Amino acid sequence: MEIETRPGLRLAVTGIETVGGLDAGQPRQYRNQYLLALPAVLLLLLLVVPMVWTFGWALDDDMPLVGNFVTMFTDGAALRSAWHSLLWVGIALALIVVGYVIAVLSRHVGKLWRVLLYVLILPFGASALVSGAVFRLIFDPNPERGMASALFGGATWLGPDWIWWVLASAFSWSWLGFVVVLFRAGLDRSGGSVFRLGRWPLPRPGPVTAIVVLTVLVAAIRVFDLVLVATPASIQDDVDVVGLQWLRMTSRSGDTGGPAALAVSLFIVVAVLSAFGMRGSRPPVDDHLAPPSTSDRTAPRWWAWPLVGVVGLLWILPLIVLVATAFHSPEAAGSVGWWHTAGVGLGSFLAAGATWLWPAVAGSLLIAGLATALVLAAAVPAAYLLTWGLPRRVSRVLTAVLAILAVAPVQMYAGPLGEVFGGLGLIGSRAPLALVHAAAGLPFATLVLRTAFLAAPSRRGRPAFDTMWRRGPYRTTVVAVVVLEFVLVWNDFIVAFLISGPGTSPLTLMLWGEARQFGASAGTIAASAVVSALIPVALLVVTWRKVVVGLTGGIARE
Amino acid sequence: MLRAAALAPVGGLAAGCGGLARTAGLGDFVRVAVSWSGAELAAFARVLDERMAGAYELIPLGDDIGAALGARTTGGPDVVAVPQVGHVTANLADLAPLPEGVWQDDYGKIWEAASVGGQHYALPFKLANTSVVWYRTDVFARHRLRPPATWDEWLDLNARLSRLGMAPLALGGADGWVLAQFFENVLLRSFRRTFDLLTGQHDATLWQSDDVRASFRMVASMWGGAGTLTGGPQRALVQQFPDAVLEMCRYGRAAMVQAPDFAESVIRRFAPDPRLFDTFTFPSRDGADAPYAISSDLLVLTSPASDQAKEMIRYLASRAAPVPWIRGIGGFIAANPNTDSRYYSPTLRRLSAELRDHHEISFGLADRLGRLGGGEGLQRVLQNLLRAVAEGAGPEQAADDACDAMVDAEHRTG
Repeated sequence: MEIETRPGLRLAVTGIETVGGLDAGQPRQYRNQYLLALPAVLLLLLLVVPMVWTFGWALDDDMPLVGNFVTMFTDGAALRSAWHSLLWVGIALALIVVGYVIAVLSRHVGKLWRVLLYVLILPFGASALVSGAVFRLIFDPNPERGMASALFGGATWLGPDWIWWVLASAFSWSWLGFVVVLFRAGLDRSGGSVFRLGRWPLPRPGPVTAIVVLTVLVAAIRVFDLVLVATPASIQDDVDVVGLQWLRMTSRSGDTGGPAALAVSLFIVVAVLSAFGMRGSRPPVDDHLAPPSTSDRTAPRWWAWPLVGVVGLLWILPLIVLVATAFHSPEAAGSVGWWHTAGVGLGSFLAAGATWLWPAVAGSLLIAGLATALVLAAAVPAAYLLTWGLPRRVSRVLTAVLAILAVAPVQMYAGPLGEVFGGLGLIGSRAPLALVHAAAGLPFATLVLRTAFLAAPSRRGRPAFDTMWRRGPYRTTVVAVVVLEFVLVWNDFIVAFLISGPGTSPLTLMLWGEARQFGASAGTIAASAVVSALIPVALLVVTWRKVVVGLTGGIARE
Repeated sequence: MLRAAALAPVGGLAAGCGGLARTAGLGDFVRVAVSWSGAELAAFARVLDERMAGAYELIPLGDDIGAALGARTTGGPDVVAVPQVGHVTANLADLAPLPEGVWQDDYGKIWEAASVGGQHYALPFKLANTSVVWYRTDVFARHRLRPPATWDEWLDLNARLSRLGMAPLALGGADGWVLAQFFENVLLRSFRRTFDLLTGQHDATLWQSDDVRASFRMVASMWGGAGTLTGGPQRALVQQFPDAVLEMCRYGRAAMVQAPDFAESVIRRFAPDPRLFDTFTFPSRDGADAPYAISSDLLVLTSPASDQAKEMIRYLASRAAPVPWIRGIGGFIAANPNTDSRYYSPTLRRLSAELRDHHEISFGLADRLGRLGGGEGLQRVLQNLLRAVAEGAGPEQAADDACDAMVDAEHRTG
């Protein structure tokens, strides 16, 4: 607590001093268990039980245990979707390599790094739905409307031959900033140490590599709404990934075993990835981390301008396309491209605002705000206990469980939750949806917090619980978790889409409804996409330093 | 630019307050789920604003509208505008009967299955005439072309237009329902008996019949005709319904487009001169008189129905309710026979009268076959047929594959 004795003079009273004597006492132990109650209930009821349930469905067949999996491996459509998911892994790996190269080169561009940085992290704040919509705008097959079709002619961009190019571009646009910024933070910290790839010595990005690889791979394997919004329904077979195949199977029939087997397979792949990732990402102990610097005083190399120019232009262009389309009237945006000056104005914002946009914004704010508050209330005590309050072995096991829950695909718990929610009449109400979001986001938030707590400068014993909330060494990570959780829920499509159904009407779901007739609705789609991207992008631009530090397991000195 | 975007929501602040109240669950708001988007959604909002401004929340669900009816919901929609009759029959148990006094006997002609045990469950609101082909009157006049009355005349017309250097037809193949409407028009208007058999009973072997094969062959040979589709079948495959209409009415690259009456709203919004377009009836094989294919948006009440929701249905059933839509963007045929026809454009007035006066109208295959007619069945099969044509398959081969695929789909969904 803080006592202000006279204006300007504040005395902080913390609980640290009392740690030694009372620590082992019974009341403290009791309080510890009490702190675990909320996270445990959330995780058990909304994640663990439904996942076990899904496992049960997957194993339940005329041919016990393996029947559903045998069917899956002989189903052409399911195999094709698995192959497509594998292709996404390839895309993710290629993106990681490119991101690493750009991060290495970025240390020689001097002041231009600041420009590059902001250009790259802007798209990271936009949802996958928005980035899919942006690239569908750019690659619209209509030569009057689509920029790529107008420039290149000939190619049918959204057709079977080019659709993967469109999807991979959209994914890269979103994720490159994340890869580059984290690698750059790692490179700055590793102080010039190198590793050898054949004959070439390369700068070592350090432990951050595991976080980057894991996050991007899991994102690539779980890709869902991006494909849904960017692909015309007529060629969905060419791009169906495992997650979408699951959706088609569940909507096609009442069979629960087939989709469950698919979800379990997807889950096992990401869980194995996660287990490897966690082994590789031991947090540096007592390392005084700083976020990547933006004020680079070294003189830029001769190629700095062309490099930053090309990458910067490519990455800012989709944003320009989106915003310029949004600032055309619905009629203009629906018939001619964003580069035309006729019909410029606020028409599309007004048209979207006249029907569903603002209630949807309010709905999303409510859901994301509620879920973030819940995650914070549950994750901080959980991470506190994992770091300081539990026996080491218990803590290690729980951490491993959380690492696996953190990457579990929504398809793993959507089926049973949807059924229970349906039975209880909860589909379409917002508070239960926020609860599911909180449970889904809790493992990741707890892990991020725990990593940061571990890396905190060691003290005598453990800090008092309430120091977590106050200004001080832990605040950065708490802010990072709040921002990330809010952005994740705000940008979420799949949880709302698969579990809660249409009634909750968050912004992304409404945007998806609007995108039914994509090209002719380009104006209102772009306008609502701009509104939807504004809040998370602004949040990230303001707080990205804290987020980077929080994600890389550091405690910033304030 | 971003900063300018940040200011844009200020304009909607007033609306946002209402939104917040709704979000918090304050007040009695009727939640209305619809499949419309874009301009049609805005037009429906204007319809509701006439009487219920501030008392409703619109939920645009796109093609997932069926899911809104599926589960018992508390926060779910109170009123749903269902675009497929199949969804109504499948979810009758979750629906409340319509309030007294809104039903008219004329609705029975549209769809008798909306009524069970003397209770009526679905109110036809918007009617669509889908046996329609739109064309450019200026092109037809300039080259002295006449709308075709038989299938062969249509093929001849296409060939003449191709020779004149103009693509005859635009097709929105990315929307499965567009292809399904094309196919079911062929089947309904040229092979009536088989159409009735297919809608009456689930029998996989029917999809192997000569009539079905001939219908698939007819659409495959028209879509695959050299120079027939604007941009070729490859682009037709990734082009949605409004984009196909734009090819004709805005960019002038096609002379015709097979599209229901509601293509008028696209034409009015985007065509430089909307008066240059007219329609002819989808030709039958031999020009004989045949039923018209229709679709309809049906309003249903989810159970239990609130008084406000019933009030909304009563309002939407009134003769004047659709007028703001008809006058605003057009492309709307009121199911209510008493709605004043003077608000229609001349073309829509004629199409509306055709539906009212014609001896027989029938819902299309895709609407009536349930899942077999949807994205897992007929619509997907037709998209694959278009794709096969794009990749150079002959009509025979494409038709045979389509028949086999429908048998497969019948087994899978049956």
